[in-house]
Amino acid sequence: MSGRVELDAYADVVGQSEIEEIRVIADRLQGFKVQHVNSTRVGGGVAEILNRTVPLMEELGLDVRWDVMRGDPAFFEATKLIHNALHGSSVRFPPDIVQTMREVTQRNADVPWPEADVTVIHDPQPVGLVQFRGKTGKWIWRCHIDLSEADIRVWSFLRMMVERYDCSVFHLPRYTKELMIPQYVLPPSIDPLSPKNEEIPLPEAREMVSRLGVDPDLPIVLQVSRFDRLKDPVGVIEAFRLASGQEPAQLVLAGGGADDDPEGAKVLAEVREAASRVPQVHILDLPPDRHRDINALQRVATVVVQKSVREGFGLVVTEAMWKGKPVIGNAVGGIREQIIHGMTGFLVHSTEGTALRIRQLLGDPDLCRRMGEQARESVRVNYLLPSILKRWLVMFLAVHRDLRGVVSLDD
Amino acid sequence: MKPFRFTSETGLVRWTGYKAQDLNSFLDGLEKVGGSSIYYHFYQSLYRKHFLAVDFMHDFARWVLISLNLPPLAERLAQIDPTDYHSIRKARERMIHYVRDFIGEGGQWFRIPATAAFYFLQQDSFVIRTGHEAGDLQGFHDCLKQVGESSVYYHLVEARIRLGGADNDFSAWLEHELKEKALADRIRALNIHRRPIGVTRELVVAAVRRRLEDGGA
Repeated sequence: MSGRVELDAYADVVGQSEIEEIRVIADRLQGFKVQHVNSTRVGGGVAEILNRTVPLMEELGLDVRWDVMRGDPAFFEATKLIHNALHGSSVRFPPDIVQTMREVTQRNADVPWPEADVTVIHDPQPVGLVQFRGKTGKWIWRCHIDLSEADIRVWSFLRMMVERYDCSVFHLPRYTKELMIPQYVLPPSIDPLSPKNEEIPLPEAREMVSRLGVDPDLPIVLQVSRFDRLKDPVGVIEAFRLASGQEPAQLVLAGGGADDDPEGAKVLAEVREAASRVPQVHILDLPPDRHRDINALQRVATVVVQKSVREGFGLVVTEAMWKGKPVIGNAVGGIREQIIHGMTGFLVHSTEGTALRIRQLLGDPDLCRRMGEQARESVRVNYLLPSILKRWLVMFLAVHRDLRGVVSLDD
Repeated sequence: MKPFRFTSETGLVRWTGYKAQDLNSFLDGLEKVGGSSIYYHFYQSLYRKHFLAVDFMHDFARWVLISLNLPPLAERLAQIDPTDYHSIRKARERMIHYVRDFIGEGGQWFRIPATAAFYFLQQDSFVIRTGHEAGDLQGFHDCLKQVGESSVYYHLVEARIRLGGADNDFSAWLEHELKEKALADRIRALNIHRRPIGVTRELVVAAVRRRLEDGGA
């Protein structure tokens, strides 16, 4: 994580006018009290988003608090089980799980900020804090996970609490559930100035890629993902094998997660074994903080693949698109939402389909360039941090004042 | 003379509670959702995915094509071109007509998985003055270059629905306040749904610049 970035630094990326508009909206929110609550200050996507947006909201004149729920190992084990069940996994719950959740929630009764104009609770872990809400102030439940296949027992338990909020906010329409409260759809964003996405001059990126043992002069087909069966790395190798023969190219599978995860190590071994049978395949098992190396690989790549069997929003796809790359993505989760088939990349449904599109793109540099430009533009319009920040500011006003429809904020 | 105040729009998207997994539920949604949902999927989709504007432009047609896999109906829906419709009600009626007819033809269609369902969304729009104001043509030209794309969208695209017909805020002001009818008509004639809003802005700026070079107000 790089240091604090000020809002004006984004002007070169999104335009001065966008920054001006954010400031005009923020003028209506001077001293507005916002509290974010989640379950961890470091690690994980939510902490990463808050680490970026909280300082920007403070810079804009909002009075922002970010609090973390205090839990014990039993609580975090319980919330991990709940998280998996909400993702649709079959889970066996310990008999005392509800008691554990209630006790820890009770011990955090002092976390909510009574003076907050808006309280934003992130994800299921702190959802029960809503029972301590005061008479004033509005509560938003920001759900970062896909609930479409949630375990019905867990969802019924959560739903009773979620419906005590004023509204909920989901990443994608299909993540929503039938609820009695309004459900907003607001995608996550990528930060164009973070080490993952900051500009790297091409000569420097090529040199970085070369240091990773990859030839920057040979076209690169790239998948960035941890070594997990849900990302189907072996399927990517098979697709590359099927596509090979006409255009000289190499496959790079870059990721990590194998060090502290026995299952990850097993998958990595399978991937290495599969790679040993196909020429020109590079397996890069990188530590989780090598964001600039991944950034460089994405910039030098010719084609990016995301062959996930299941996927959340898939910000790694957004990041590749932002670097002007066409992405071949399995039509699941947020990949389906982000890739506009035939325009910013290709949606595929099989290993063979992936191979077909790899071959097509490797053989057509003009198509690669055109799709890549359109992919970058799509991210600029829809998924960059400043524009999502702007919508959050408007959300605060809308929820706090119960505004719907077409509303003038000048009145 | 009233100055032109550049206003901008920021949207928040909400789920209406309607979703479709087959043609009947799609028709039900088309009939029952509020006008802002039709507006969101029919007009605004162009600007979220603007470069799709060559083919199957709006969300409804694309979903019928890609998820329901019904090209004959998708073609009929896609032919309802936002350029021709300045009324949400008329666009909705036309789409309902095509879907009803298609159902009446009695073909076979299927219920698709929830993962591919169509969610009828709607947008709440929050408008705010940007602080940019113009009192003459030169000022208008300068502001137009500076404001964000969401401001240009508000005055050119959203205005057509707000004002009805083919008019827009820029043309209305140029004609009535600056008496620049020819320039106003040139802007009215732009086919705004065929290109990204940034490109349209360039065309408007160029038209105003030419008028300034000709000695306009």
